[in-house]
Order: sequence, then structure tokens, then C-alpha cells
Amino acid sequence: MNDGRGTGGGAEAALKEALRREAYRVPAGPPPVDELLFRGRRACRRRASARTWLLIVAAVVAVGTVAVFDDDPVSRDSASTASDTGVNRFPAPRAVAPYVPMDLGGGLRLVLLPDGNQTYLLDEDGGDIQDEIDEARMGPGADLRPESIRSVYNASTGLVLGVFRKERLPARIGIRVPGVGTYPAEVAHLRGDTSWGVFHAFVDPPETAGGDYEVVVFDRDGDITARMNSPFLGLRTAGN
Amino acid sequence: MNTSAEADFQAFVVSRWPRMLRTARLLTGNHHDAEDLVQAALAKAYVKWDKVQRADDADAYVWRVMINANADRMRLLRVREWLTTRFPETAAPDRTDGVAARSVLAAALQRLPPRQRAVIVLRYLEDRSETEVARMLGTRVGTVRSHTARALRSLREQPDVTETWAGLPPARTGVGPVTGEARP
Repeated sequence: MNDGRGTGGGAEAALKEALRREAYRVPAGPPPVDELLFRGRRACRRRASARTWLLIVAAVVAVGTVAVFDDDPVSRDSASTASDTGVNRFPAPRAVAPYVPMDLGGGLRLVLLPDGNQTYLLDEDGGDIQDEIDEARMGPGADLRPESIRSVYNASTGLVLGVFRKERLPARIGIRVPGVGTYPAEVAHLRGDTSWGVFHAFVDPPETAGGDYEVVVFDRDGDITARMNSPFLGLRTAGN
Repeated sequence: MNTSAEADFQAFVVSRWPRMLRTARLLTGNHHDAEDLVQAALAKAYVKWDKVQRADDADAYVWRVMINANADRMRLLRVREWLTTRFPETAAPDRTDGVAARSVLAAALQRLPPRQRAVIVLRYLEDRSETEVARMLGTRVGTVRSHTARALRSLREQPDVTETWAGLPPARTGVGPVTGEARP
């Protein structure tokens, strides 16, 4: 156990011999080459899919805006109060474990990671998600500025998915679609870390092309602490 | 991946499969999980095959993928491993009973924290140097040394293991391995 290859005397030799006996106990059969090729190709496809999602988000961020939370509520007008939106019925934030996929429905799974800055992963493949987690761990994450929020809409699934970074955890978040209604968003954050989190809701876009949806953030008292308009862009993907 | 690269990958799989399986067996403690782990690691290697081919030591790269995959597997399964100073009462193993003796060592390895276990396997089964192990685990040589010392101490503290493991002296106080010492 020095700096060499550990070929020293009695104890090491005995340990090596014991380990080899244990390792060789079960003979190795032939490798499942076809199965490995199948898994490898599938992992490549998933990786490409995950990258597509990241590119969509990045592109949207590049042209979008980032809403900045105010210390004071941005609006207390009667048209946006808690009672008007029924915000008290919205689900409260839930703490989740890192690396554990949350089933969003529709074959979508969301994973929050402690690596990087505000790192999360959306999987729409439904298979082994581990490769995508490994990939996401290497990335920088959403990397939001303090007190900001970002969201993206995916037309194929109807999912509005967002991420926030805020000193105080939002109590509720809703997605308002003009002419349609306000959808309660589910909010999740990593257990033991309330400095950031994600939210999502499945929404119906307006009948006509274009238009905005609005992310509305509430505090514990039901007051709005931030709102952010995001367009349902022509390519049916929007975000801030 | 193009056809040529895929052929290289297949050749790698065929040539490394038995060895990877042996390493994985000691990392996971059983053959079934070992096969799953090796397959997962090789599937990851397939995705990053261009990096594997460019690596100075392709084996080290893939072995590192496997060790990380094992750590992730355990985290996802929420496997909780913890050292204990108390073990089930067992009769002293008969040294002629090879199967029982090997099981004792496998069980003892599973009681080690994952990093210590990986260091032991890489050092003593794979015969990698401390420098190589440090590179494979993404850590420092000093950390490898301390992991080795702690792991060996933990193993020595287990009577079943020291009985099974002829040539290894019982645990002693103090830090560090006892290279070269032999059981009297």
C-alpha cells in the first residue's frame, strides 16, 4: 500500500487472493452485446431529446424576459386577489428528494438535482432516466439571477414548466390564460433547499394563435408577489 | 455512432466483459446486480464512446463510469449503508468451506462505504496504483491512502474476516495499513 501497485507481503497478498477468489466465484457468461447496443442507442436518442429540450429553453431565454420579484406585492388590485383566483385551493409547495423522478402525468417526469445552479430535468421518454440525470449533473443548471423566474410552454404536451429562484419560497403559483382561466401550478423544491424550485401546470392555450399566459406568484397571505407575461409564440413554445 | 466505432465498442465489450463483471461483483455484492451495473456502465460508455476512445486509458475511463454508476444506483435505490461494530453471531468458518469463506468477505465488503469499497477493489483486485485509483475516482492520492487505511482497519475489526482472510492480522489501534505484516 505504498505508492506502487500494492504487491507487498503477506497481508496484501492474502487480501488480493481472497478478493480474486470472491470475484471469480461465479463464471462470467458471454456478454449480451445486442442488448448493450440496444441500450446504448436508446441512451443516445434520449440524450438528443434532452438536448432538444435544453435548446428550446435556452432559445426562449435568449429572446424572453426574466421577471424580477419585488419586495412588495406588485399588485393588490381586486381583480387579482386570492379570493378572485381561488388561490387557496392551489396546491402548496412540496419538498422532494434529489434525483428522484416526479411523475407529472402524460409520460413526463421531472427531476430536481442539487448539482449546478437550479438544475432540473424533464424527461418525456419514460424509460431509464439515469443517463439524462448524469448528463444534467454535468451542466450548469438554469442558473437564474436572484429573485427571478423563468418558464417555458410546450405545445405538444400543453405543459407550462418554470423555475424560480427566490429568497422566500412562493406559497402558491398559478398560470393564468386569458379567456380560459387560471390553472393551479404544482410547486416543488428540493428537500432542505427553499431557495429555488420548479412549477408546472398543464394548460389549454387560447383558441386563436398568439396571446400570452401569465405566471402569477402568491405569498402566504394570498397577495401577488410577482407576475410575468409570456407569449404563446407562433412556434407554440414560449417562456421567460 | 458510425459502424466502425460500433465495431470497436463491440470488441471492447467482448474483451472487457468478464473483468468488469468481476469488479462489479465485488462492488455490488452479488452477480445479478453486477450484471446490471456492467450493462448500465457499458451503455453509458456507448453514449460517450468518442471520449472513451480519446482517453489515455480507456479502461480507467469505463471503470470510472461503472463506479459512478454504482454510486448513483445506490443513491437512487436509497440503499443505506452504515458501519457497525456488531455483527450477527456466526460460527468460525471452516477454512475448507470455500463458499462460506468467500461469502464472509463479500458481506464485509458490502459493509464498507462505497468509496472505500471502490478503493479496495481497484487497488487489490484491479491492481491499480494509488495514483491511478485517485485519477479514476477523481480524488487525491492522499484520500485514496486514507480510504485504504480505513477500509483495511474496518475489515480487520471483523473477526469472521480475519479468520477467513489468512495472513491478515487482527485490528490494531492507530492509523494506517500494516503492509507486510503477516499473521503469526
